[in-house]
Amino acid sequence: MSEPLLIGRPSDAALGDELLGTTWRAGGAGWKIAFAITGALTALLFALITYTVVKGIGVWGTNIPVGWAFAIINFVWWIGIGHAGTFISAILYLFEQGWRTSINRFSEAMTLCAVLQAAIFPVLHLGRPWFAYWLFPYPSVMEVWPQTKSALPWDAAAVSTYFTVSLLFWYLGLLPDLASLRDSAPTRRRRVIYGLLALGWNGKAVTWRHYKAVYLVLAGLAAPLVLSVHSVVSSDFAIALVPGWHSTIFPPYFVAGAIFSGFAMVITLVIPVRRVFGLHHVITRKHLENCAKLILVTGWIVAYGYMIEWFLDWYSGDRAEMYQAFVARPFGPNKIVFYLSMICNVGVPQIFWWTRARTSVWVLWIASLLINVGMWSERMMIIVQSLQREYLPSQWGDYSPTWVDIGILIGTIGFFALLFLAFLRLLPFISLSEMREMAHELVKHDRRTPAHGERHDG
Amino acid sequence: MTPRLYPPWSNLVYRGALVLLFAGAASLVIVPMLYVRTPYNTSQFQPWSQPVEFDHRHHVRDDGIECLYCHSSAERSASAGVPPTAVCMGCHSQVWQQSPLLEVVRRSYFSGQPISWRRVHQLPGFVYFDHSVHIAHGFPCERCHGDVGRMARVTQVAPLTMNWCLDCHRDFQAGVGSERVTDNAWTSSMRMLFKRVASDRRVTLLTTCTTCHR
Amino acid sequence: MNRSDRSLPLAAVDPDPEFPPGVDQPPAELDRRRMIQLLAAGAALAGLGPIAGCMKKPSDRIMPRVDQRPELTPGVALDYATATVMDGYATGVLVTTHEARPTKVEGNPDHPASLGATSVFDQASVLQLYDPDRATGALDRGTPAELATLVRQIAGRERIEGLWFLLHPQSSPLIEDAIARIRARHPGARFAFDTPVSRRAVFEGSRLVFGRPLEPQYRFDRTDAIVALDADFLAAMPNAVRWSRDFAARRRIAAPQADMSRLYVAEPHPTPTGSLADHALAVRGSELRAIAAALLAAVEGRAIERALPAASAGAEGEGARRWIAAAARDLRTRRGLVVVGDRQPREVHALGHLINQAIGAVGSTVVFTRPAVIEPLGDDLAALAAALAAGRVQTLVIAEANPLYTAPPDLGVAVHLPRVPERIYADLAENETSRACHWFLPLAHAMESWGDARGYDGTVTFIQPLIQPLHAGITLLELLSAFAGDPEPDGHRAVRARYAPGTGDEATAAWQAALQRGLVTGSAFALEVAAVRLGDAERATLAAPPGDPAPGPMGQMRGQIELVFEPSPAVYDGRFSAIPWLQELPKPFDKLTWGNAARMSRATAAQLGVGDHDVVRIVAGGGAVTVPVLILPGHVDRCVSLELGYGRWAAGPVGDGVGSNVYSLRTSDRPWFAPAAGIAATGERHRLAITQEHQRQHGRQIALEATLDEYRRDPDFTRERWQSEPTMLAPQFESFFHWGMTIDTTICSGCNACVIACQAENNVPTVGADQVRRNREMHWLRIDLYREGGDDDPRFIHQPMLCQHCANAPCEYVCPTYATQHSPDGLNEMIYNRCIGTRFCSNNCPYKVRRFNWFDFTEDTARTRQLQYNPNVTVRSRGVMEKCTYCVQRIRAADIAARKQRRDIRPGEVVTACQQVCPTGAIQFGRLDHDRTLNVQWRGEHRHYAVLNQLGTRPSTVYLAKIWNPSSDLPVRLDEDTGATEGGAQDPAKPPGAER
Repeated sequence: MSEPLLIGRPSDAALGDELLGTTWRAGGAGWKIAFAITGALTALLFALITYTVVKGIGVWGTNIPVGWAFAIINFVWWIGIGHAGTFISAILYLFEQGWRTSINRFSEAMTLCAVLQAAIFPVLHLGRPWFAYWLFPYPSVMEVWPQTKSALPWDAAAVSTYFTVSLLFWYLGLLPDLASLRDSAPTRRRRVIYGLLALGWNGKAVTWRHYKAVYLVLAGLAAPLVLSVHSVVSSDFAIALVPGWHSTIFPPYFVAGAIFSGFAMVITLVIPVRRVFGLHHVITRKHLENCAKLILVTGWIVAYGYMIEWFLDWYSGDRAEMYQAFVARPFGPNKIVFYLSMICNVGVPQIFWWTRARTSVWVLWIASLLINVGMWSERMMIIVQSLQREYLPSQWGDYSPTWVDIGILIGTIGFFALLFLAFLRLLPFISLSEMREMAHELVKHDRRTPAHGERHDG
Repeated sequence: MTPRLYPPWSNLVYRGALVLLFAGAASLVIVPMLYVRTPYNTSQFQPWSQPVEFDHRHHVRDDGIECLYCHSSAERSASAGVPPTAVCMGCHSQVWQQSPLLEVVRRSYFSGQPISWRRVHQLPGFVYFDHSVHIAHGFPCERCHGDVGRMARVTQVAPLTMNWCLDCHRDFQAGVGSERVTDNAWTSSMRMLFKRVASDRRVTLLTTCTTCHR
Repeated sequence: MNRSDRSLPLAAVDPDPEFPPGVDQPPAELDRRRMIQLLAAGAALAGLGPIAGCMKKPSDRIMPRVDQRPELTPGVALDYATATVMDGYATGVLVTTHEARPTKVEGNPDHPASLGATSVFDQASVLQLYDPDRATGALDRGTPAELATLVRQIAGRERIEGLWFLLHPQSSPLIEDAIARIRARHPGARFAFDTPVSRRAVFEGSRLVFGRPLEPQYRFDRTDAIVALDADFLAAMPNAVRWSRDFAARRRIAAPQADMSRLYVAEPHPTPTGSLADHALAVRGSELRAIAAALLAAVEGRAIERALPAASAGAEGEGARRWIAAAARDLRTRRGLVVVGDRQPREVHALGHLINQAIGAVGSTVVFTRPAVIEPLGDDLAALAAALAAGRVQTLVIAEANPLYTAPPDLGVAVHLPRVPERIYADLAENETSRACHWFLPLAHAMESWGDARGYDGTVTFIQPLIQPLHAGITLLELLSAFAGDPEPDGHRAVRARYAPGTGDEATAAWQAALQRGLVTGSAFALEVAAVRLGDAERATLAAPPGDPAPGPMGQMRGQIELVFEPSPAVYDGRFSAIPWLQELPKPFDKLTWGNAARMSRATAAQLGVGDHDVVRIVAGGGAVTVPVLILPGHVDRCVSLELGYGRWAAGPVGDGVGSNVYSLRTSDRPWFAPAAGIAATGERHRLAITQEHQRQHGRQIALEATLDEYRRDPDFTRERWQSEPTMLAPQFESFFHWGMTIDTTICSGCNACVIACQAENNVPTVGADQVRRNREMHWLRIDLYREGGDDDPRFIHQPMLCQHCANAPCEYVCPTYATQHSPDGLNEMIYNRCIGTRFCSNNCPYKVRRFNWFDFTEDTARTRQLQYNPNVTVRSRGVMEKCTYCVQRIRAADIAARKQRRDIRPGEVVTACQQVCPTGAIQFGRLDHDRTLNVQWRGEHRHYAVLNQLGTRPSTVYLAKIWNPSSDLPVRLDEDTGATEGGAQDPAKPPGAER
């Protein structure tokens, strides 16, 4: 282990002060400004949503042939970002990856915020959003049910399930820390509130045993969702015969892309947080480096996806598919997103072959930002560029967003940031209980192998 | 040890609260579903007041006037038609000429201004119902309109919801009235029957969407 | 619910003028739309929405009629025979009325000018009736006046000095009488007949050759070789609808062995006729005289060099020579015919007559009658202008004509007209000229009028009212009768008096029968014997190389650019500018809507250094206009064609400021072809609203074509596009009563009649130029245009594209709510009220025929225009998808009728709107088990194919490949398309840089 997961061997009390302190300490002017900005953007978001619903989605840039654009791009993008959290907290947990400990809560919260953003769009992009509930099977007097052949009802089901399970999983993990918050709360009001949220947690052994069991079960439930959700989302496109959508590689390729972008977003967020709260010894380079490695791996899966698509387009011999892949995307309208996604998703991750890049905070942060941009562009490439150039040249059309489209995208970023900041302020964003557990294990580990002991402090 | 926050019974309250929470969530879904099936929503059994106190009981039962005498276009047209004032006056220029109840009718007749009746049976605009074809297949008026002959004021008795329409349209025996498409189909195997039915224009077209929505 | 009850108040053919039908009541469809919204709102509030429930009952009213009318049954539509009149030429039509509310125009099968089909303009005339900007009353110097009073004043006057009338050409016998009576009452009254699309040259031409004005009656159904000299006889000439049917009869081939006619066209810019030509020769309008002279020489066996001296030099001349030679050969050896366009000067018409004479066409493929219009008997605009200038006009009466907008500036009408002491104007709506007049008298729409008119062949056609006048109005006939001294003119009385003077029962019965036919049978003109009365001298001058004004032999005038004017195929000369349907109609070759453009060849554009959407300033005839450029392949070089009818400033909110007014470039002596004094780029750009920006197939085999020889060699050349692909899908149950459509692209001229008919039948909204620029036009049926071959000699294929009603419809399985569904009789159903607007179906439709309601387009439709809505078709709300339904309302209506009679639907019982209107009869529709119908027979032809068949969608709409019949002298190579790549220079109508 080149880099330790925990620098130093802080006592339980020290850890408690440090990790719970983020909640108790008053925020400075910086916080107020941050909240003001994100709050304003959130207001913008809801204003534009109202405007869209009142006027009709004609205020967007969508048209015939480009029936889907920003709304669906944003949806897929945010859902993708939402994948890292559950991946880290559930899958890495099942694989007993110790390094997940200090970032799992944090990334789960990120997941929830991201999925909330995503959840806006499937409803908002409808021509008649007030009928969105028709996507769910219920016995109506019409005696008509949703069509299971279409991907969209499954979308609705998958996303809502994913959100519910992630929420439960995250909340369950919070319980012990909510209890600690309750017990360490300075004022009675906070004690009452956190007490309510802690569901009367008492640190008894039996409680812990049940807790662990439930946690494991939920992890088991959450893990497959990571794979299923984006597979379902990808079938929104894969089941269609649009050149550039009609492809069986989509599910794995979308899941990989999702985790890819998810980890990028984790890094984007964790680096400033770690700096602001000065938690370098809890969230160490080791964590960042592991994330970087995962980005490199998933990045290659995405690249492989691109290559397979090109190969199949050529291999199919279908003129429309070939034109799509080799003419429309690199040379057609909005070709910028094609190059952006190639550079950011295939090119940028390659720097992570070098340890120096993986461990350099600035490189990591900028790279992660670029990857976020790249993944958004990739979705625009897939959705918009494909629709611009379909089978009948007579119906080729171009797409350009309106100010409403752009405003809504920015608005969701602001809303996301607002929720996340609130989380940072109100809850311990690093799992105190798990950190304590890890600290103890490391101490045990050090005793058993004193030889290694020194290096940990290195 | 921190002083205890909550009294012992708080757990009970808490559990109760949780139960209520879930019950409330469930009712949010179930209550509307029940509501839309109530007459209040389908506006059944609502005695609308009309500009003329027209009493079907008297005309249909006492005088024995056929439905089609006044609603004459029901046989020929999608619309059953509300009779022109002239039809009313056809009789009432002879009988009850002076009745105050008929003042509105007379005014309409002599001023040439139509009587503005209130619609009782209201289908949404995207539903295309055709009276003539139903009558041609021997549907009695009562089947949808109830026993109008016993109504002082005409009210809507059928819910007129889509599943109510489908009840008949799915039942191909009822649907095709006297055509009896399924004779001798029953004798063959059910599979044959369904194949036959599935391939029979007259039957299958009764449940396709554009039968009513165009 | 049934709409008819609701719309009864509209219906009330109500004697009380205070209640004009419809204006006091919102039409039924409004209720229907509001209902959908209520649903939505209710659902939104209640958070649930079982369709039939969920809204409280609105206080909806039923207003039955007061009186009983046996012929009116609520909910049963009636058709009335009447006529639409364009510049004097009547087309017999049947107008569908719902409770006396005209909603749709169809052709009158018994009428020789229609044969059941109609033109774009006939279709749109119903919307003109409901134009919200129609005049609502008479005006005296701008202040409202009582129409009857003014009429009485008119009738009271006698012997008016300096009385002039300016009218459109007229063919009505009744108006002819009225004019005679006016001449008697006001000696010296003069009548000028003028329209911007005047046909005087035709009559002058025949006067020159035959000594009197004659109307050529072409017999395309007996012609094997047609040479059209700038003659768009399939779309732009008076009898085009009828001629299209005749032409198709000899053009469509049912089997490879069969024979088909050959068409040569020489024209400056592509036209529907030119797009069907086996050999289209792009020449400038002024050069056609030389072409005609050379053709005459060729058919007479003389050398053509004298007519085409410059031909020896230059490939252009060479091409023209070979074209003339081949045409001449066909004209001589086959049953030939030369048709000269209305734009050409009288000399070219004369030459045309001589050629027809020489090849023996006269009497066989062309016969002559006297003109239906009395235009030649009157003065022309120039005469009136002269009188105006000389101040000889004391009282000027203008009806329908709009000289201040259309008159060539050099006539100075705009200057002198305001000096006339008394100016009376009459038209449907106020306009540029009416503003300059003292009195304005509102004319009644044809559908509110009694009258008569003659068809192209002279058939007397009746005009009868279908609706109580929406506004107080007077017909032209009544106005003229007033001038003839009738204080209370009554069109109905006049018509009865002339055509059914009797009063007895049998007389009335006969009159009723005649009205139902809509025409006087056997009233067509007798054929005239046309003998050439032409001295050798005149003949020589005609055949000689012409000098000015015709700009001389080919090859001269290099560098100098010629302007060609054309009546707009959408708004004609501007009289239809107020009709949104027509403004938004994609024009056949540039697919341009909402405006006109300076159309030119790519070479000319390069020469001028401009590209698409660049605004140029054109100076000519003393005027100057700025107009955007549009590159049009197939357009002759060194020539710019401009559409008339745009740039109006007093046409109401719809027509004002749309496009550029090019009338100011015209001169009275050269109304159609004129040299441009200057053309220069202004540096500005104006993004034109174009519905199709790419015309290349990129080798995808979408619209197939073959020459007759190729077809005979390999009849199954379309096999790749109909043979079913191997599939893993389970074969699904095919019902035997499956509906299908067949479209023969060989005879589709792209005239757009089907587009408007579909719009009228199915309540399709218009969306405006800005939405069209955003690719949001709503047409259920569009005509895709594909271009093969080079830019200078392209071959065009028109492919009407509508919902293909695929058996394996890609749209159906992606709809989450089953809002689009397959019916047992093979229809791809669209259920608007179940649609939540995911647009997944549109994304997944490879034909892109689905249209989405991005906004509440119906809300934006004027209320009076909503009176035109077809009550049998749901009006779509915001946020739902819509598309062609194969006119399912007609299918279900026929099904109900059949069920009531315990029978099956009969072959030919269901006719779709597009099929019904098609002039050439290129669209056939029917059930596939009705195997004696044309529809089924056509599908059996070798050349049938399904668009994008390789996707396995199994469309119910089948196309027949376009067959060319080129002359062996001018071999045509159907090479692999020189397809463009992205952003390539090949796509003309695409804004440069759009891809960059």
